[in-house]
Amino acid sequence: MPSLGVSESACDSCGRCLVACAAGRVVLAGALDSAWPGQALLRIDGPAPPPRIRLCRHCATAPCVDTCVGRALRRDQASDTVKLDPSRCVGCYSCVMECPFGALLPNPDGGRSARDVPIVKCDGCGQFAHPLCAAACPTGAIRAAADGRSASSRARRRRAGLLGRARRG
Amino acid sequence: MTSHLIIGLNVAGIAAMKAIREIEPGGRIVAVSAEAQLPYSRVLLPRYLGGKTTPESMLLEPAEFYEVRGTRVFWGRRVVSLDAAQRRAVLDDGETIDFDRALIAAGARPTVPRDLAGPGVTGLRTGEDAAFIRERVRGGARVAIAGGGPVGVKTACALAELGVRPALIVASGRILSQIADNEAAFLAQRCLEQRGVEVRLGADIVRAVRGPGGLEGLELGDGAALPCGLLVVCKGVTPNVAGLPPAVQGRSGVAVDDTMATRVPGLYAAGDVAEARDLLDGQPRVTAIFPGAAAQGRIAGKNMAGATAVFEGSIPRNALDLPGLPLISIGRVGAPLDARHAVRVTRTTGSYRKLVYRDGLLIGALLVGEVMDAGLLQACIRRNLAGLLAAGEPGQLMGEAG
Amino acid sequence: MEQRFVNVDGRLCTGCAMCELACSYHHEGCYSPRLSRIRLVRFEDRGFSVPATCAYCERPACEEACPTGAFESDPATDAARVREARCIGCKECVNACPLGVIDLHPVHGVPMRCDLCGGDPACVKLCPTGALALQFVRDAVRDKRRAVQTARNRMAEAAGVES
Repeated sequence: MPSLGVSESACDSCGRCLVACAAGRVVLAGALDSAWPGQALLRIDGPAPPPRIRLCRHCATAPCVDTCVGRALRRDQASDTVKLDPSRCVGCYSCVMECPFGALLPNPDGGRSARDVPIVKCDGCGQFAHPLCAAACPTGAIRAAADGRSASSRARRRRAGLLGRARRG
Repeated sequence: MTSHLIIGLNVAGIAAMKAIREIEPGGRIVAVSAEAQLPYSRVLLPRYLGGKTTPESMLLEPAEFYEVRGTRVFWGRRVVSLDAAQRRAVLDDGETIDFDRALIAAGARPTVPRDLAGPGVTGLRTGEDAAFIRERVRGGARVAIAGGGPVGVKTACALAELGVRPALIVASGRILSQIADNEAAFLAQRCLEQRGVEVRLGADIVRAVRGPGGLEGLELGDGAALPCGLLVVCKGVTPNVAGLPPAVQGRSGVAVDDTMATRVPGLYAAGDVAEARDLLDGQPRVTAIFPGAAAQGRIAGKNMAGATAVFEGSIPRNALDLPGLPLISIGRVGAPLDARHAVRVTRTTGSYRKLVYRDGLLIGALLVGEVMDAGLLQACIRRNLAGLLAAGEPGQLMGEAG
Repeated sequence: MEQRFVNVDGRLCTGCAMCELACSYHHEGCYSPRLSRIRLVRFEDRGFSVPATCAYCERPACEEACPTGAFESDPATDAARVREARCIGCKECVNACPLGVIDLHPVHGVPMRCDLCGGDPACVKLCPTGALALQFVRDAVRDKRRAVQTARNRMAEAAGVES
């Protein structure tokens, strides 16, 4: 699973991630005429600097999974993501209370309309080759790497390469 | 190979089972579950009562989870005695189980005052309790609920949605007295009353009036009589410590250290039976909340399987999903009026937010209506409370939130 | 106490990877570069390699990114430690570290960050060329200043100028 790296200080709250995410939902649902950013599985609280990016980090020992009374939230080992099964979610807000990123988003209408579920969260874009929000982000505030390890190995390599160049110079 | 015994199979027991399996795949685990059916989420019982969920969707794990090589579960049995020296447990049917390490996760049962106990009075802790309540309600019984805590409120809400207009009898001057302040309690009470719950504040139950047909009513402290055919007692829980060696017992449950180990080597405890550290004041206490049980169970399981893990402590917290009015309470939500404490309140249409500071550090939050920031606030509160505790300046427990 | 760190002199590194093996054995009891807190970066095309490990930043980005306060300092040695009880495995530290020297443990899901082995790093002990050294920050800066000055003097000499 692509690990999502978030740096809020780089975000200028342009909202492209929201549009990309909402478009992804719409593509999956097969209803191309109804995309609006409110459907996105992440949210930006901004523009107060720095904006807060409410996006699931897919934690290894996720507090939301621990607390989910209906076992709607589970860690999916195969994709290394935290998945929400809307059919099991009872809307108890326990996960909202636990997530230190505020990434579990209570639905604005409290889940009263039949189509909606009480809580939405990032699904990791498993159906797409690359997380759509990261692909759409122009500032690098949301980045995706093939996994957590390669995010650090890329940084290591970039830094070590600079050292090498400095020495030859 | 080490053989593990897990006494009680619910949130904590299952978390421990997972942790042990992760470290010792195929390891020997014997579990004893008091209930014959697959473990289910007790927190969902009020919803089940209200007909909003099915038994299948309440299961904590599917049946296959318990049918793994190395795991054996005794369903519908109880451990009647635990011999720590011989490392042997005796079940209620006389069968014995030898073990190397054991986890006590026997949970708790509803606290029912002795003078009330009898026919027509029940707690809400098991599927049987819920079935009993449903049956009585179908029979047209008027229902009273004793206790204005989160469980009582959720139960009242669920019954109101069945259309039975239950009475909620609360001893203190407001509902949710432990987790909310006056204003939040007022909002919650109005929400309950709109749904058809009759809330009686400051009311003590003096006596249960029983006739030939069972429970007929309650006599309240102010002399009033409340006719009802069923009383659901939601006044906290009592840890199940029967049959355990006296050496492991604490004040009310089982005393544990930071690794969830009891005073007896090889015995661990987790969940609603364990007296783990409360971050609010640093004292050991049974904090019967769902996420606490899961974390404690996992940590106990890791330590049982030979890894090292510590439990830092839990902070009292509660999320309540009243219809259209979510309420989240974290840490200390009432503060004494002194120079060290400060309170910041924000109100908007349909929402109320109160933040409690001590020496400038956030130590509590109460959110009603708009709860999206609760997790961020909890992370902050947790760090602050742990810091205060490490600095030797623990907070104090509140009797009632002010 | 003044902060120490494992200083890397890339000019002396031969890419033998003893540091990775020493580190993983010391911390995990097995030889696996994947479990090492110090990681060797190889540039085969340029015939050049350099180990990367925690630089003990003044304002560590990993610690600032951590939402649960899982990083702490050992009061005796000032070395970094991870409070595993607090870690939720969110990978914020991995993504925040500009040096790329924090990885999540593949099994436990907690960050692996150089802890100076309690004051006597295994990698430094086993490095055959002396490319790694446990140093105070001030000494490392002094050495660098000297090296720069020496190089400058040499250039000046070559140009025939009095320095």
